[in-house]
Formats: sequence, structure tokens, C-alpha cells
Amino acid sequence: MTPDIGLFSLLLAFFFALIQGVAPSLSPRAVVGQFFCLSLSMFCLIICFLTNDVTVVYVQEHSHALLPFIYRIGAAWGGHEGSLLLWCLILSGWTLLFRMVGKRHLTDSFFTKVLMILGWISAGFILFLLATSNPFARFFPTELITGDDLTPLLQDPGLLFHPPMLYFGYVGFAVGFSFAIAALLEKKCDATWIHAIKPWIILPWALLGCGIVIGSWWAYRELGWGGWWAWDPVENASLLPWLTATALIHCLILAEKRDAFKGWILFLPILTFTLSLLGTFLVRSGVLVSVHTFANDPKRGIYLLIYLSVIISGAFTLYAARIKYFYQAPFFQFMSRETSLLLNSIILLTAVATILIGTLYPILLDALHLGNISVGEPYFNLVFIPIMLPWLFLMGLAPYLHWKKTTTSYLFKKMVSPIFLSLTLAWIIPTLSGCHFHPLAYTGIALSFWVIIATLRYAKKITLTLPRYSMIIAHIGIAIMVLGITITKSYSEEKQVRIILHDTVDLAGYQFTLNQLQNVAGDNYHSIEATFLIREPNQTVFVLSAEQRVFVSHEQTMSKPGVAYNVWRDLYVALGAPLSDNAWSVRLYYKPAVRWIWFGGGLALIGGLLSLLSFSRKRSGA
Amino acid sequence: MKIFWDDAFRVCSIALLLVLAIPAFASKDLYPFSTPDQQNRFYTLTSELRCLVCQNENLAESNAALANDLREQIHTQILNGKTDNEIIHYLVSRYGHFILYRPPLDASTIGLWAGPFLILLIGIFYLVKRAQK
Repeated sequence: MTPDIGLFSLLLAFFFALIQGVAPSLSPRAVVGQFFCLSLSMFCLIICFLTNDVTVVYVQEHSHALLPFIYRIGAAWGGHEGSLLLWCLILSGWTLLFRMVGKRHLTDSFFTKVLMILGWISAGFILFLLATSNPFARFFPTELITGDDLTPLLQDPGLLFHPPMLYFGYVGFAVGFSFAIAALLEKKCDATWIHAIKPWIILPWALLGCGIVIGSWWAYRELGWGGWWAWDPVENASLLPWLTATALIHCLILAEKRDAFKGWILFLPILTFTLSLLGTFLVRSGVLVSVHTFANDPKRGIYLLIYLSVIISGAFTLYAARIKYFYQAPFFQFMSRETSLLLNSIILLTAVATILIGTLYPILLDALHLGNISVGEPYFNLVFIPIMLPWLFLMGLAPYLHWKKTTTSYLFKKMVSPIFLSLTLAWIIPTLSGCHFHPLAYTGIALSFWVIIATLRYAKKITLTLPRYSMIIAHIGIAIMVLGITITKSYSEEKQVRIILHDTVDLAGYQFTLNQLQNVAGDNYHSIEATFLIREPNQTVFVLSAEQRVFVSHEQTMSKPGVAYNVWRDLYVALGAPLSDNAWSVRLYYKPAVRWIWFGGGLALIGGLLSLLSFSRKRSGA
Repeated sequence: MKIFWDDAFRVCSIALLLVLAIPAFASKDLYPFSTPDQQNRFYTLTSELRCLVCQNENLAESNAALANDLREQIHTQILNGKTDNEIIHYLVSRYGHFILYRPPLDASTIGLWAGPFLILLIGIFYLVKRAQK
């Protein structure tokens, strides 16, 4: 019964989305109807999981009688069908939010246009679900089955937050996209528009960033090799819209101040949402695994490809046709705030292009039968990093540049001491803490110091308003993140060892002693837990455990690493496979400053959100 | 007096630990090498090579059987004094370019390597032209 209600309300949601798309007068009411139906549908799916209704194919494939309660809720979006239902629900949630709080200064016709565009996007996706990926499809088994179970990797609290967070971001950009399309249709993009679109970019930007940070942290503590970013195509797909949204947030400031550059601020929201869709397509079609899996199950991939091409070609044709109405040529010199903000967009778009090229090039070569290559971390280290280094320099410099023009001598006077200070500190501090010199590490640390010093110095000279606080916090957050990345990359130490009980291994001044091995039983797995005694350089001793779990349903093993952290470093122990003579293979990592990556990323997002606060305050004052 | 004994005990236990530890450290590595340089080469090589049977993992991280075999092979070859280039050449001749996470620069990968920098140059060129003197 429950799955039937779920399917019926999904069908109803599709009609509500159509009404929202075609009938201007009914649009606002259809938004509410659609949201209600999709919520009910999602609720039914979760109920199916909680009751382990194995007649639902999707539940049977992703659940198990022994799966713990909280993961059953997460499992509802742990697979293809359910995650797309979540996609639709979140889109309709954003639409509802826009309907409730977005109206204020917008004209009726503009407001309705945005709702209608969102209706069409939603209708396309719900149709995709109904046509190719019905989460409520039934199969009545003739024998007793317990379900295939959720992939062990996904059985982590991260599953409950990471995918929804990413989707909140991805899908949220649909509102900004609709804003841009509606502006192109109305041939009007004024200060009110710029002011109104801001929260619909910043909020999804922060949520997507939060999703990325959580994902990175999840990978770190789940995958067992201490990595926090692997340049995996799926990760890359989530980074793309975040980068273009970052460019857009900066361009909005530019457009607001100069009442120009409308071409950029209309182009970037379209690009951002397009990349979100592209990400969904890449992840969901199977193209990434291999071009051949795409050919094996073509229905989903082809539907998404058509949907994507309709939206991209439609949006960019409209853009090309209407952009002449927005053209202005404002005056600015090369040495100016304008240049720095445009250069920011150019570098970020180059970064986006690099990631796209790196991700899609192997697929393209394979499809054209020109060879089979892999593109991975070493490629991105060689190409991505040199492109982003000038971006960091620009981040410290930009606040000192004036609008329209800045004289070189003024800039030189302001810049000399922070540059000198950061170059010196980046040399002194690592040397005093006993790190050997490393050219790339020096560059990274010096640039991070430069951003922090230049930004703080700027902060001292000006009156602090909320938008400025937001910029300062965000930029320092990014600098801390870069500092963390640089230090971890350059000064991490690792060892892969073969040890037996009571053996001691030394790594980076820490002594790891394997103290105990014991069997532990979990809800749906049994595991071997290795307990290590760790002696710090200052002789304090503490205990750290790592597990090797074997999941009942698949006989699948998974390493559950043990992590001990403080502000300065992480110690990371992963239990590997058992070897001969009672020995175990164990990986030990010493990772300095690794936590700064997530802390810095989080700080940058808080900075972004802060500017939203100034927005709501201005609103209530107006 | 008590402090003295505590300190003495501490010093002795550290000394004892050091004595016990020195011979023990040498042989614990799963892939033992004679020089730290060889060790570093091993870590760099295995992290730049793809585990061929995994979704998207390098040799250093993978737990697959094939990855284990290849790690053993690379370990042996380094110990036998082979250079990085020789090892890479050997692996590519057996498994193709797919094993390299850093694809070689040739006619088919020119877009991959030059594309990003070209885009950046075009962008900067546009900006310089757009800004007024």
C-alpha cells in the first residue's frame, strides 16, 4: 500500500509541476501542491525502508533486515532512484522557499516567470524519475529474502548529511538560473535584480561548499588511506558549480558598484546550474565508470543527455539573442578593482575548464578510439596548482585596488611590507618548527601568509561593515585551507608496516605499539579491532583503535581507521589485511595541519553566509 | 628523593626503549628498502600509478590483489636498481598508458596539457584589451 501511495503522489507532483510551468495564475498554488506531493512520496519511501518492504525493488537492492535504523533513513537516498527523488524534493523545497520569501521587490511578471521556469525544470526531472528510475517499482519474490544491503562504505553518519547537503547546493542554483532566464526574457537586469538574486546564489554556494567539506572529511575517515581529496570525477563534478558560483558572487559586487558587466552576471548563473546538471548527468549516467556502461543501460543516460541539451541549448541561445540589450562599456584601467574581480572570474573559469578537461578527456579519447588514458592527481598537481597560485596572490592584493584606476606607486607602497613579512615568516616559522625546506611548500605557505597579513592589514585601516567582515573571514578561511593543504602535502609521513602483537613502530617521533587484537561484533558486521598504544614525543601515552570490518551480507571487508587529532596534527592508523605468522599489515600516517583544510573551508563558508545576514538586515530596514 | 627516583626511572625507561627500539625499527616495513631515497621513489611511483581493476584508486591505496602484485614488482625492481623510467616503461608495455595517472604528452593528449593554459591566456588577453589606458 505505502509504495502505491508514494508512486501516486509522485505522479500527482508531476501534474502540479506542469501546472506550475504553464499556468501563470495557478503557479504559486501549484508550488505548494508539488512540495506536498513530493514530501509524501519521500516519506513513503522512507517508510518502505523502515519496514524493510522487499517487494519494492529499490528497497530490496539497498536495504537489509539487519541494517541499523538510522542508515535505513539514509539508504532512502543511498541509490540512484531515491537520490533523484531527493533531488526533486529539494528543488521543490527551494521553489517553495522562493515563493514564500522571494517576492518582495520583484514585479509580479518577473516573480511568476521564475516560478514557471522552475516548474519546467522540475517537470523534466519528475518525468525522468517516472520514465526510467521509478523508486517504487515492485517485484513480488516467491521466497524469503532479506535484501542486498547498503554498500558498507555508505554506512556512516556522513550518508545522512553529505548527499542532501550537496543536493541543497546543486539544486539551489536552479533559482539563480531562473532569475537569469527571466531577466533575459524581460530584457531587464537592474540593481533590484542584483540585490534579489544574491541570497539565491550565496545560500546554495554555502550549502554546496558544506557538502564538499563534509564529503572530504567523510572520505578521510572512511576510505582508510588518509586521503581527503582524490580528484575523483564525482568530487570534481561537485567542485565545478561551486567555483563558478564563487566567481558569480564576486561579479555581483562588481555589477552592483559599477552598474555594468551585466553579460557576466547573466552568464554565470546559467553556467553554474548547467554544471550542476552536468554533474548530475556524469554521476547518474554511468559515463564516468566507462563509456561502455553508458551503452549497456542507455535509457537513463540518453534521457538525461536530451534534458541537459534542451536546457543548455535553450538557455544559451536565449543568452546569445538577448545579450545585446545588456551591453555597456564602462571605463576602467588595468590596475583597478574591476580588473581584479574580472581576473578572479577568469582564473576560476580556467580552473573549471581544467577540471572539465581532466575529467572528460579520457572519456572523449576512449569514445573516439584514440587510446585509453587515466587522468589523476599528478595531472591536477601539475596543471591546477600553477593556475591557482596567482589567484591567491590576487586575493591579498584585490582589497587594496581602487575602483577604475590605481597608481602603481601607491600599490607598491602598500604592498612592500606585507610581501616582505610573508616571505620572511614563511621561511622562519617552518624552520623553527624543524621542517626541512621544500620549494612548493614555501610558495604555498608564503602565499597563505600573504593573504592573511594583507587582509588583516586592510581590516585595520577601514571601518568594518558586515560585507567587509564577510570578505575578511572568507579570505582568511581560504588562506587557512591552503595552509593546511600545503603543510599536509609537504610534511606528512606514512609507513606501511608488517607487525605482530606488542611490536613497536616509530613514525615522525611517535611510537606506535600494537597492544591488543580482539573480535568485536556489530549490528550487521563482525570486526577485528587492533588497539595501539601511542607514545608522543613528550612521553604522554594514549590509546587508539582501528578496525577491519567484515559485513555479514556481502562478506565485504572494510577498514575503519582510527584517528587521533589535535590542532597541529592527526595520527591515523588503518588496519590492513592479515599476513602470515600472526602478522598484520598496518598503515600509519602522521598528517600535520590536515584539520585546517576543513576548518578553513568551514570558515570561508561562514564568511559567505555572514554577508547574507547583512542582506536580511538591509531588507528589514528598507 | 622520590623525585630523583622518578626521574631516574624515566631516564632508564627511555634508554631501555631506545635500545630495544633501534634494532626493531629496521625490519618492520612491509616494503623494506636500503635507503630513504628508494623509499620515497616507491611512494611516489605507487601513488602515480592506477590500480587497473579498481574504480579510481592508485596502487599505493588499493587493497586489490593485482595492486598487491604490482607493488611487490615495483618493490623488487627498485631493489634491483631499476630507474623510475625503466619501471614505468615496463609497466606501460604490459598494461598500456591507462596505468599512468599522469598521461604522457603526445599528439592525442596535447589538448589535455595545453588546453587549460591556453584558456587562461585567452582570458588575460581579453582583459588587457578590455581595460583602457
